[in-house]
Formats: sequence, structure tokens, C-alpha cells
Amino acid sequence: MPVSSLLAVEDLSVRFTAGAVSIEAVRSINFRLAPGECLALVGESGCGKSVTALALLGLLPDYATITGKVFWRERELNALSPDERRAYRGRRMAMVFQEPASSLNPVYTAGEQVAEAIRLHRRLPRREAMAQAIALLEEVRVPDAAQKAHSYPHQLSGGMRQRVLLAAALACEPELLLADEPTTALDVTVQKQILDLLSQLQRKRRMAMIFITHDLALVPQLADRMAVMYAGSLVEFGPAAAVIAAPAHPYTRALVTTHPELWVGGEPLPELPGLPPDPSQRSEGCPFAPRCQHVQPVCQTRFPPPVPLGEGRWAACLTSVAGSLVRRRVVP
Amino acid sequence: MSDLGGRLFGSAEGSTVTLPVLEVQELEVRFPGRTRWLRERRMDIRPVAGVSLELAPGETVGLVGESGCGKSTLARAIVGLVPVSAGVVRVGGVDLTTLRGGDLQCARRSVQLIFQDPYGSLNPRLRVGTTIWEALNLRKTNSLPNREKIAALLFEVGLDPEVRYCFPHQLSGGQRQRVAIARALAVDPLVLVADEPTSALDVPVQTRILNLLREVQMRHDMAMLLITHDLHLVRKVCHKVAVMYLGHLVELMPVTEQVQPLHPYSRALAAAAPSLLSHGRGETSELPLGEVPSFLKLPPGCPFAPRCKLRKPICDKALPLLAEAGEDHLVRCPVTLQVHN
Repeated sequence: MPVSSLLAVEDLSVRFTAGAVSIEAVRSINFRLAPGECLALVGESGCGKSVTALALLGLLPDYATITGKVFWRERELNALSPDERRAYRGRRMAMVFQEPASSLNPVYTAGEQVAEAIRLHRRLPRREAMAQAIALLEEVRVPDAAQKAHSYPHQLSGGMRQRVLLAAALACEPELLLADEPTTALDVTVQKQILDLLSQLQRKRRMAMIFITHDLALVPQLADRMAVMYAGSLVEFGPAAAVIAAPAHPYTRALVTTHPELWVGGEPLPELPGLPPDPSQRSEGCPFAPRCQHVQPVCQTRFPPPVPLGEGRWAACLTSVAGSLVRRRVVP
Repeated sequence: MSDLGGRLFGSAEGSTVTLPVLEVQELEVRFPGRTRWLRERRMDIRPVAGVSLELAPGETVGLVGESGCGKSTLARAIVGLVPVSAGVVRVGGVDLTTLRGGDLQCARRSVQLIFQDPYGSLNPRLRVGTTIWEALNLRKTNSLPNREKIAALLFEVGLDPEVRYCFPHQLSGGQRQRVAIARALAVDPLVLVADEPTSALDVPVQTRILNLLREVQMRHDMAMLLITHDLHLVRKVCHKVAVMYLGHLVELMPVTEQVQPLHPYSRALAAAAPSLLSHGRGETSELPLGEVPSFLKLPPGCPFAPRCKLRKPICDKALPLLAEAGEDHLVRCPVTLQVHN
């Protein structure tokens, strides 16, 4: 394993079993993350994005079966005891969730919750922790931080709550921030403010970030590289700008070409037919095959291996990569 | 009078001038504020403060703005789900605000609302067929037997007629939104008001629902008011865009290549919209300062003034008027208009 990566995920799979039903939510995914790098994880709801993030943090419930390896520098995280694993959460990797209203405790003030995160990892007197919490709230640009620190979550707007959550996540200066759809519940203007803040903080603190989103349009302004996920598997991986400009996998291509921004008005808008497969009945072949325009007999029987495309890019598709439509530019 | 607002006033066929099918004039919705003990002043809030809009048959108008700016209240006021405190809502020539009882019920059918959340807008205890049957029974003029009509409606929205035996929880989000559209179509409306019809759905499903909405709109020559926060979508599917901020329309513009938004708020919304084509970190200078103020603490003049980067002393004096900036283009900002002209 090269020394340069901060996080290396090798053949990570997550399976949930309930009685006779077994669902493979994440299917042997592989990727590496360098320190200070921002990776966007893109896909539809139910494709396993959030489960991947929770598996990296070790926050999945006991009934989830996790196989594969997650390396943090040289340490293998899945081999650690729960207590050892706990020391990694918050201090080295932290997470910001989608719904800021439900991730904050309604009976504590914003400042107390940020201070709690600080005190959990560093022994500090209450008052000092509070002073640091206020400094953190200032860093995430909460106006009148000293005053807002004494507000309860219900007194804050959605954007402010997300900032408080971000302050709590940054409390122990993590090296990796996992942001799971952090702006989905927010308005476009507030979304833009939070995204700008995230990218500035990430640069300033040289923090790596895994940014999970279903909206492809958020990727170019934030991410260095992107991973596209479909039905539990990674289907395409590479530099964000290159993947969006000329997607190689038919699914990525469909995501880009059906995006409202690229529609040409008038005629019916381009659409992607079909639905993602039922997770309890996954086939041996390519999960995208039933919806794919370029489907070949080989797609039905064999899960396509990643096909390298140079510049650290790959796509898990045999037919389109080999065929003529390799990486045709779709974005001007 | 049983078919008031249905066929009778429905079309402007034959006449050379297309009359607007939906006319909203100076519409105001006022919610009474809480009276505090020993406090004299009662603070009312006005989520819709004098909005005027017109929709021609077959026309799509996009209504955009941040959450809490009164978009959904306007939609609800148009279909009569919240009481209107002043102004006129005319659908096919009939003023809905003056009607009561049975006449209102009949007239209301000509405007149908499609809600944002298809999980919350269908009765979980009714089978899909029953939901649509209830809507069909509202109009007493159907010639086909209901069973066939239900199947025809489901077919029209791209669902298998067998879906009528399903309960909403057995359907996906996209399918539920299709059922909601079928239910709206059951009463042959003249106007469709769609309140964020796609924001609860996955991206590929959004496109399909939008295609369906446009298809049924064209087939029935309906007018559509599309409420959304997605500016890309508005530019692609609407004829006109109305931008709303704190109860007021701040800009009304046609969607063409030449016309660019002028009001600082519209420009901010456009700048904030995420773009696939952006390279690296975007331009942040257009972003408005802070967040939307509360309706309880409205600024005295222009509602956008406290967040505006072009703020001048006149902005704080009185609410600016909607003034013409070009053909069919109205802007409520004297400062930008001065520069523009």
C-alpha cells in the first residue's frame, strides 16, 4: 500500500440479514483517498452511499456483516476493538449528516453541543471548552457566535444548524470529514454558502473529505475526484471534471445527460428508463444491464471488472469502454 | 351551474385573443398573529402580499424563491386551501374568491394542485383506484363507466391499470406522483398548480415526471404554475418565470436566451444554483448576505434591502413598484432599472 494514502478501502462489502432475506448494500468497493483530497460519492437513493460512509466510521449496527478491509494509514480499522475504533471517530474522522435538525440534541444549546465534542476527546475545563466552541462557531461563520452559542437548535435556521453541526465535527481537527448530503435540506442560496464554507475549511485545514450527494451539479465546485455508485457497486471512478465532461460508464452518462442543466428545451427531456434492481435479488451480472442501451450477452453473466482508462480513471463496464463511445464529451 | 368553470368557460377557441385562464390580481393572504397578553399590537403576517399573475392556456409559468417566501401559500390560495384576505383569483373567468358552497366546489375543480410529497398527499388507506374514483365522482358528467375511466387515466400517466388495486405504500415515489397526477386529471382541470412536484424524487425519476407533466399539459391544453427552487429546470421547461421574495413578486420575466434576470435577488438565486459546467470554486460575489428575514420583522422598504449589495437610501423608504424593464419583463428594483435603462 502506498504511504501517500490516508484511507484505503479494499473489497469492502456490507450485508444486512433479516431472517431469510439478505441484502448486500455495498458490494466489494475499492478506493483510496490521499490526505487533503476531496472525493465525491454520487448515486441515487438506496445505492449504498450512506452505508459506505457509516461502514468507514464503524457506525453500522451489529446485524450488518462487514467484510473487506479499511486501512487508515497503516492500521486496519475493521480489526480494531470497538473501543480502539471509537478513538478514531471524531478525532481522526468526523461526519456531518443530512438532516441537521435531527442530528442535534434539542435540549442542549448549540455551544454546549460543540463543547461536548471537544471535551469528549480532550480534557478541558468546561469554560475553556465553551470558549473554544465559540471560536469554532466563529470559524464556521455563525454571526454573533458568542450569543448564538446559547441558542437551542429550534431557535436556529437550517443553515445555522448545519454550521453548528459542522463546528462540532471540526472540534477535534479531524483529518477526514464525511459529509452525507449536507445541503439537501437547505435552500440554494444557503446551500452555496455551506458548500463554499466546506471547501474553504477543507483547504485551510488540509482536511480530506468524502462528500456524498445525489446531485451531480454539486461535484465540480467541490471535489477533486468522484466515485459513481450504482446498486451497491462503484461503477466509475476518476478526476471529477474529466468524469463529468466525458463519462465512460453508461450510468454516469445517463446521470449527466438527464441533468436539467443540459436539457435542450422543446422536445421531451432525455430520460433514463427503468428502476434500480431490487437489492434482495441481485444478479451475477452487471447491475445496470437491464437499463443499459449497450447491453451485451456478457453483461448478464459476469460482473464487469474495473477497466482502467488512464489518469487514475476506471469504469466497471466492458461494452461501452471497449466500444466506440469511449469517453465522448457530453459537456461543452 | 353544475359545470361552472369546467367546459363553459374553458376555452377561448374561436376568439382571436387568448384570454388568460388563470388571473391572480393583488392576491393577499394574511395569517393572524398571536395576541400577547397586555400587548396591544397584534402582528399579522402576510406570506402573500399583493401578487398578480396571469396564465394563458398551455402556458407554463415557473415560480421560484427560497423556502418561506410564500410560494406554497400562494399555490394554496389559488386552489382555495387557505383563506384569501384580499384580491381576486379568476379561473376561466370565474372569481373563486366570491363563490361559496356548491358553486365554489364546482368551480374549484378547474384548478388542481399537485403536492410536493407524494407520500403525504395520497390517503394510505385507500386503494389507488378508490382515490381516483373519488375524484371522478366529483364531476357528474362522465359518459364512460368509472372502471374504464380509471384504467384510462392510469394508462395516461404511464401506469399499469392493475395499479388500481395497490395501496400507496406498495408504490415507489415516482409511481405515487403519477397517481397524484392522474387524480388531478380526473376532474379535467384548466390549470395545474404543481408545488415542487419532483423535489422528493431521485434525479432520473424527476425527469420522467416532468416529461409526463408536460405531455399531459400539452394534450389537455392546460396552464401550469410550476413551483420550484431549481432554476435550471425553470429555464428549460417554463415560458415565464416569476421570482418571489417575502410575499412579493420581485421579477416577472419571459424565458428566452436574450433576457437575463435583473433583480439582485433573482441574480443571486441564479448564481447560487449549482452547475455542472462550473470549474472549481464559483463566483461568490452575487450571493446575498445572511438569511431570509422573518415575516414578523419585515424591513420597511424593499424586503430584500437588508441582504442586497446594491442597497441605496431609497430602498429603505418604501416598497418599490414593479416596473417595466423590457417586453413582458417586470422588475421591482429601481436601482437596477436605473442602470439597465
